Amino acid sequence: MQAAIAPAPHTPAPGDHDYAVTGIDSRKLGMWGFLASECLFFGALISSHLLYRARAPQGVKLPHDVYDIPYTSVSSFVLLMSSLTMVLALAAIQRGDHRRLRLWLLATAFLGTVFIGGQVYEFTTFTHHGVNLSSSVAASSFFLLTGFHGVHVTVGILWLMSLVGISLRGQLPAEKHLQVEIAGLYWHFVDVVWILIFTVVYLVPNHH
Amino acid sequence: MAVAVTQAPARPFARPKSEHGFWSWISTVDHKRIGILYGVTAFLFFLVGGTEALLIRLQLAGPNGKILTAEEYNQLFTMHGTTMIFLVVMPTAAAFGNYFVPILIGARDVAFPRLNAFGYWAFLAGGLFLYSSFLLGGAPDGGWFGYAPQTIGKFNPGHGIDFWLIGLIITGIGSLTAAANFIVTTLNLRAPGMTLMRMPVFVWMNLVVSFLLLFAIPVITVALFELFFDRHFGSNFFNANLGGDPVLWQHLFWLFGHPEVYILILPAMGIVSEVLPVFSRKPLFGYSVVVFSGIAIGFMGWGVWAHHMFAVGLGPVANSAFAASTMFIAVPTGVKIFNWLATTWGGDLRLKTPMLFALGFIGEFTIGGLSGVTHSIVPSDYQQTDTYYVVAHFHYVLFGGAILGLFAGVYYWFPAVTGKLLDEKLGKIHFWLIIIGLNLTFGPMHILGLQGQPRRTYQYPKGMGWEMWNGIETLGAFIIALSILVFIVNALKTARSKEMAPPDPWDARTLEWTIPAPPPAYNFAEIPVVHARDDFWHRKYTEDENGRLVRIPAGGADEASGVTEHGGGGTTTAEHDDHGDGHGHGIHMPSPSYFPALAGLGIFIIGYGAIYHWWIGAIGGLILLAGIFGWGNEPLAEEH
Amino acid sequence: MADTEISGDTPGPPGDATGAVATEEAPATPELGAAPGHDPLLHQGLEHHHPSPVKYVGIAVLLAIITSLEVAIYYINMPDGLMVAFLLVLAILKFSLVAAFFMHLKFDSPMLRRVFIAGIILAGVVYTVALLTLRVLV
Repeated sequence: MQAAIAPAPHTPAPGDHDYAVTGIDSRKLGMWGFLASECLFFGALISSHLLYRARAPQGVKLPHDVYDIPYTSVSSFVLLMSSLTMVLALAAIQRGDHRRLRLWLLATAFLGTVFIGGQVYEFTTFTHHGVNLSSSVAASSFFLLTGFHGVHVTVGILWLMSLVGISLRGQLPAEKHLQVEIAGLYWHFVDVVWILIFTVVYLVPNHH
Repeated sequence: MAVAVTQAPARPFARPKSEHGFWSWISTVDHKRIGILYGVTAFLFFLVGGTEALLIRLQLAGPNGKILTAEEYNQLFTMHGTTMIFLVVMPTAAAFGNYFVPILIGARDVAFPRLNAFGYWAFLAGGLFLYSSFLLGGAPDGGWFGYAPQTIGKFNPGHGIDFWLIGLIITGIGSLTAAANFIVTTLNLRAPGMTLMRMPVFVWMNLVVSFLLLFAIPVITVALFELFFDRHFGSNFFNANLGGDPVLWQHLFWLFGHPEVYILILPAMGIVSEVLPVFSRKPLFGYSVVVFSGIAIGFMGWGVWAHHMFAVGLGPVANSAFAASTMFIAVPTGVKIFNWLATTWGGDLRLKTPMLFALGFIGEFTIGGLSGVTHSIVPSDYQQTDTYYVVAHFHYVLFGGAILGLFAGVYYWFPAVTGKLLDEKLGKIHFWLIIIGLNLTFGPMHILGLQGQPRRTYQYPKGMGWEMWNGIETLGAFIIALSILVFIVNALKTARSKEMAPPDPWDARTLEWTIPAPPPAYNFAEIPVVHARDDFWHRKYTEDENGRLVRIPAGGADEASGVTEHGGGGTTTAEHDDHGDGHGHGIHMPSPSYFPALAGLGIFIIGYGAIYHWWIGAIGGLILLAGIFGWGNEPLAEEH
Repeated sequence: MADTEISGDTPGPPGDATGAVATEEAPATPELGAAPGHDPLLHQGLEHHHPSPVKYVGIAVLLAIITSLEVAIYYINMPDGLMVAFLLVLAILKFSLVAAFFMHLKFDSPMLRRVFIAGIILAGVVYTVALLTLRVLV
């Protein structure tokens, strides 16, 4: 009596757990809704920074004065590449290659960790130059924005590692590729936010 | 209940199975039970918020009030506003949404049942967290709007504001998850034939509200974090002395705050749109227009926020732009009012309690809307802002509007939830008392405001000529309290009564009346197939050549969908399924789970960690992680 | 599962479903090898389509190139307005590439695009207006 979820495609009936009038899996639709709300979240943080980026007391350095663009370009590149490894992980599970899935997931988590490590180093350097959360509103808004972004990346890393664990337990078969896809959507979004931050915060001129 | 024959190997913390008793409520993922949790909790907060209002009114009954100090007064009006908005109106709408949206669209549950439960626990956690402030050094006193710089550390030491900030972050998380859940549920789980334009208006309004929440909650969340960081980590977002700008707070707050008022009113408008047709025995006039107006209000609500900031000094260009947009938003609102009136026009009106409250909504909300329009004229607003005129406006729309609309929902849907009707006589007494009370309380505030009585002020001096109206307002507030007492008596009396209502007691139009009351866990024995808007009505009635209603004889029901025109379907399910849990039909509902509540507990504890010691937060964090991991690892439904 | 039978005369899934009706199912097909001459863009609109790994690497290379271009522009002396314009265009390009290909928006149901873009546009508009009133971005 059960609708068989077998290799043949199955059309969900009302009451089935995967019934979806729009044709989009509910979890996927839910994640995109969440990502849309995150645009408002990061938008507020970016706007706060745009308002304050040039404001510091006399003689106090702005974040802009201490940026190391080549360094941040490299860490941006690292995060970009992590999106590549993420999508390769998804491709792997879609073709049933679990070894590669875990490999690419680990690579993504690794690159994410390198990115976070890079940020930690970068922020420590800034602090040595007198640019910290309370030195100026410019710095406050910089650190809050990049800090929240970093928290998002960290949550993503934990999520990816959990998927590796689930896969190792044999509980992530190819049919459950959506779980990887959804983690991927979150990860790519976090990358996309950084694309914006790198450009708007670091590169856009701040002449005051 | 069905005994499990095969079980998963016994684990130290076994998945809850019970359907009765205290723990079954902690672990429920049934949208109906979650709706009841929201509703009961919100009502308790309503009593608390109402008590706060009565204390305020006692203080202001006469000049130079001595009942409260200024600080106590500030805490009370802050908590009154914060409670009524975040802990009463929003969760009551969530209660109705949770209980009825799945049923109204012909579904068995929401898209994410455990996330749904989590939303309730986050609400409860945030509310309790906020109220614990009274015991931990004092409640927040910065108003429900928390304007900087009054709320930054230098001017507001102590933890009150922090309880406000974190309490709202926590409830915000709950609202956000609930919103995402409702959007996916409404788009994806509609029964066959239930197109978007056949959905009941309440479902539509809930959908618009969910999008508003989805986009507005993140904005206030950023503001709350920025202020928290100002207070604890030395940032200066809102400290003008060090480059910060208090106006940024206002922008972020009102970017959330204005959509928020539509979040507060649209569900009540949805309820009114359900009640009027039933008690006029006519379809809603201009369904599409009402729906599109609701959507328009949702869109336009994003374009008016700075009308809360006319006196801040944004300049004539900004002020004019926002004045224009504010005037425009009156249009879709007015459209709805006309459609509601047209619905009742020529209808066979039955003035039962739900209908009285719905009609009351129209009258009172219109008054509030009119004063709102006067605010949109900037020079006029310069006079009105920060006076009791504003207090009059928003209480007419929120109390005369949202609260009356929500009470209409309570009386209307009480039989659908419990199978019993609330007492009509007591209901009418409640209604008339509340109408008298609210108009006595809030009506004179228009006058006092224009005479200059400032808001948010704990005392007024003798000799301003304000004594009489203030006294009348206090009397009115106690009449409101009396009306609520009548309601409580009604509810208790009905709870104890054994008298069950007939099925479909209101002779209604929509799907919630086609299932037994109280409904079984799975809602529908068979998912209905929908052929029209107000499908249930069309199964019961057709029209003769003169346009008069003709009842369709028994047996004319669509058997395939399991819906009978007696609106019960009771016999069929009772034969197979004594426990209402679906086993006789092979229906698998999601299994109960502790993890949503556990995650809520974790967040609750993190809140204290943020205020007191980081290691408390760490403990909360571990509990939260345990909740999330457990949740992620368990299947939605256990096989039996 | 519910033992519902949908009788013959009832409508199928409501007509307002956008995109393909069937949910995405993933049989373990080896379709994702780098098949030569196989252009994924020919199959626009079908949910099941995914660019090959080679295409993904190509996108990643493109992203790296654009990033280098951004950094190069940063070091070139030019009027601020011009630099901001270039940088924003490039950032939007990178954003779109990740969203369209890595996040698969180009090939998925239009509803997902609409939901996401709604968030972006709303954020763009309201924050721009707010910043304008604060005399930023004059």
